[in-house]
Formats: sequence, C-alpha cells, structure tokens
Amino acid sequence: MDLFRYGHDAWGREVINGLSWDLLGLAVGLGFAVIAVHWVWRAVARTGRKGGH
Amino acid sequence: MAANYPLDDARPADAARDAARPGDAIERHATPDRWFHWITALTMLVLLATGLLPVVGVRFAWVEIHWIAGLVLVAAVLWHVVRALGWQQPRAMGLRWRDLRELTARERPGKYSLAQKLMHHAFAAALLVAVVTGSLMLVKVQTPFLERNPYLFSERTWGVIHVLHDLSALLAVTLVILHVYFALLPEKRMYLRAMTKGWMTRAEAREHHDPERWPGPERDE
Amino acid sequence: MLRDVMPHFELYQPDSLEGALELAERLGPDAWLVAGGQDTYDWLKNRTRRVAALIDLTGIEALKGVREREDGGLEIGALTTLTQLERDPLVRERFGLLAAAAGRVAAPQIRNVGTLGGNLCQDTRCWYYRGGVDCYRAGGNMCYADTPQGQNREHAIFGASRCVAVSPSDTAPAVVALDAAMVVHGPRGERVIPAQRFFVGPAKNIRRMTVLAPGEILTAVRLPAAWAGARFYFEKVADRQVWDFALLSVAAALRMEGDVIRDARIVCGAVECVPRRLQEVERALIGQVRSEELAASAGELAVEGARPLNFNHFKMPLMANLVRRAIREA
Repeated sequence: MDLFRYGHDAWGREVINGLSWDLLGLAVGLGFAVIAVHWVWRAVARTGRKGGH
Repeated sequence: MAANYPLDDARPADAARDAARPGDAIERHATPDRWFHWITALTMLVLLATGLLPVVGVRFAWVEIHWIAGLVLVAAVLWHVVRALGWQQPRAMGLRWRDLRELTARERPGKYSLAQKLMHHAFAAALLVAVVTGSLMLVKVQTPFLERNPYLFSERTWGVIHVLHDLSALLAVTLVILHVYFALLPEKRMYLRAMTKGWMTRAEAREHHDPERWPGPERDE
Repeated sequence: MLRDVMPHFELYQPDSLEGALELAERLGPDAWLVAGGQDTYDWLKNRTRRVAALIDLTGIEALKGVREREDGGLEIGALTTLTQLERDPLVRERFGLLAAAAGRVAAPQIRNVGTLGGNLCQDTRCWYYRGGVDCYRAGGNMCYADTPQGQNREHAIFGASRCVAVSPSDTAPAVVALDAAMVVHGPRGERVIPAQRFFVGPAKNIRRMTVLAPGEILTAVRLPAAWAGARFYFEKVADRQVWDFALLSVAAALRMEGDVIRDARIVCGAVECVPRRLQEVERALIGQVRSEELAASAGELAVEGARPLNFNHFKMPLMANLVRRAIREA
C-alpha cells in the first residue's frame, strides 16, 4: 500500500500528486473498526451493569 | 419556569408541528444552528460522494457539483464561526482536563460530552483544511467568477495542497461513519432529536448532563 | 531516451473473440489490446507507456468486413481497415459519409493497417499528454495546455473540464452523425451503446476517451438504415492535406424533400473531447428551406458558447464556415 501518489512535472522532477487512494479503504475500515470496538465495549458494559444490580 | 425557555417563544406553528414536545422541553440547539448542522451534513455528503465515487469507478460529471457544494460549505463554516463567536458560548465546546473524569463515569458533562467535543473538533479540523485547500484549488478550475490560474503555486506546492485536501476527505469519511453510528444509537436518541427538533426533556438533560456545568435546565427554576 | 525501437513485451495473437476476452481478463492491466497499432506503437516506442503484454486482435477474422443487416443497415467489423471501409461498395453507396471520413485519415499506408475500431478508440494527441508529463489525463493535477503559455492551437473550444484535449478521430464524427450503435464485448457479455454515448469527455472520465472498461473490446459498428442514402458532407481541415490530424472536421447528414430539410445531423470533430453533435443547429434546420442565409445563421449558431483558448480562436470562424459549407453543399 502506498501513502502518496507521485508524478512528474514538465521538467521531469518528481512531484507529489496527493494521498494514495489505497488509504480510502483504510479510512472506511478505521470507521467500522471503531464501531466494532465500541459495540463490544457497550455490550460488556451493559452486562456488567446488569450483573451489578 | 419552563415557560421562560427560549424555545417556548417559538411560533405557534412550530409548536403545532412538534406536538410531541413536552412542556418542560429545554432548547439544546437553536434553529440557525440546526440549519447549519444539516446544511453542512448535506454538503459534506455531496462533497464526499462527488470527490470519492469517481475514485472507486463511478463515473459522472462531478467537478461542477463538487465546487458548488464546496462554496456552500465555505459559507456554512463562515456562518458557524460568526454564530459561535457572536451568539453562542464557544467555551462550552472547549476541552478541559476535567472532561477526562467522564471516562470513569465519576462526573456528568456540561452541555457537551468529551466525545461530542472530540467529534466536533475532529470535524472542525477536517472541514477547515478542506475549505482552505478547496478554496485554493478553485483557481484551477473554470468558474464564472475567478480568473483561472493554475500557476498560482508551484506544482510541488499544489501537491501539498492536494495531499491536505485528500487527507481532510479521508478523515471526514471516518468521522461521518462514526458520527452516523453514534447518532443512531438508541441511548443517544435524544441528541438526534435535539439536532432535528432542537430540544431535549428536562429529565434527559439531568440524566446525562451536570446541571452545574450546563446551567440551562436549572437556571429558571 | 531510447526511441523508435519497440520495447520488450509478450505478444499474444488470439484468433477468436472469446480467446481475446479471456486473455484480457487473465492478464488484466498488464496487457494492452491492439488493432492496427498506429496509436499504440507510438506510445510504446516513445516509452511513455510500458506494457508487459500486447494482445494483437488482428487475427480475429470474425471482426473484419462489412455485413448487411436485415433492416437495410450495415454492420462493420471493428477490425475492418480504413482502406477497406473507404472502398467498400456498400458503405460508399449507403453511408458515403463514413467512407469519406475513413478516406481522410492520415495517409494510405496508415489506412491500410489502421482499423475502424482503432481509429474510433485512439487516444488524444495533446502533445503534453503524449509527451509523458503527468497532466490531469495522466493522473496528475495540472493541464499544461490550458495555461497562459500553453500551446493549445489544436485543443478544445467546447466542453473542457480541467483537460482541454480533443478527440483526434476522423471517423468518430461520421459514426455519431449516422446514429451508429457501438457493439462492445467484455467479460460480462455484449452491450450495444449509441455512438454519441460511446465517447466520453473529461468531466465524466478524465483518464479515458471512450466508455470502454478495461477488458472490453469494441467489436462492431452498426449503421442503422435510417440514414442510408441521405445527403452527406465531410470535410477535414488540417495543417497538411495528408498524414495529419484534424484541426477541425465536420460530418453532416441531411434528409431533404425538395429544398426543405426534413432531418439533419451535424457533428464537428476536434472541437471537444468528444465528437460535438450540434443539436441546436439541427433543430434550427429541420423544416427550413435550404439557403445561403440559413447555412450562414446555422454556422453562427454552431459556435455559440465556445470558449477558445489562447491559441485556438481561429477554430471559431473555421467551425462556423465548415458548418455553413456542410449545410450548403450536402
């Protein structure tokens, strides 16, 4: 996976063109990973609360 | 008295439309702020869709829609800054060490919880980077009001601007996913209602917020 | 840089469409589909594009030749050479516009190997892009032709969206004017696309000139009977009379009843990234008596909304005059 998109300017020098779009999947995956972690934490917390009463 | 809360000054038509609102409803988000939120949400979705769908292979004429939506977002952000500084209490959104106590459930938050503040600031960072870099990138496309000038910056500088713009877009993707998830959680439904109708009940406010730190609920009692 | 010498690649020569499609799917982005090769070999010899494999389609006999259709139209295999097209009696008799356009492509040697499919699918000639700089079309963030100093004499006066390149195809305006249908085969089977939607501008896809997806092959061009035997006009203006790309071209088809224009198709090439069909002009012509005044006003209408670049303002009067001449002489 690349971090950046590179290209060349009119003089042949390497220039950066932007972020690699491979990272789009990472951004989406990160969002859903946090959701999964929160979902588990929420379930555990609820179980704990029920057990406490 | 509940009758003194700002929302109770609303027009009769509003009250009729929102029949479910209890008498002790507390205003959490004023109408202009709710408009800002939903306009920003809509423009962000349009911007993300027009910017990223072509990347994943959905082809359509996206450039004009993108920059027009971008201008709406710039206007919305400016409006929010003016509104926050002139009519709201920006300190309510400020991060404090004390907010960390919420993590151990020892303390209820003020008007905004730590999670809400972090979400706001992350969105603010993404939006500010997006609108600044996007505004600069406007000079590279054909618009009716700007003389196109792709030489405004060197190609290396344009590259950095594109990196920042892309970064803000990817950050926004993650944030939108999380924001929608948290907004739809059943236990957070009052926040979604507050952002659609403006109010939450006094009981909800007391349960989730410290009356000392969000004085609204107790002020007029 | 080593130029004018073919680089190393694996050469595949399938003899069936199924074989070509299977190869294209198996080799994926490492492979390049080639017909006559007159566009492809430039890219490869100049080292501006590199491929691991070339799939040579010219061995597929089923994609060659002109066939009559039941409706009186024609189906032209995409591998039919431009010379065959130019000389084919059926094409000349029914769709002389396409024969005329094919006969104006490049030079006889190129027409002998160049194919209709290749001519329609060829990449743009923007010299910044062909020179290998990373412009928008090549995946970068800049159009070098649309800058204050950019050399853009050949470029677009309509429909630019970041990229200002134009379609260089001479046959493309003709197939659009004839309401042709493009038959495309790919991994998911056959699809038939109206010619006008086959070509794609930079607003929609800045990296491609056609809607062909990777692995898809243009296999035939169907010409419906509707325009068979109509009155046609094709003219191409270039810096040289042979072996040159159009600065501007016009393809026109008129259906006449006496002096009255009953239906019209007017399409210009090299003014936009796609063949530019002048539908407003067509609407203005239908039902009118053909006259010098009508042709002149149609020419003026044709250039409305043009946005010339620094060095191609000349295309506006050129386009107006070609459209006027097409209507007058078709």
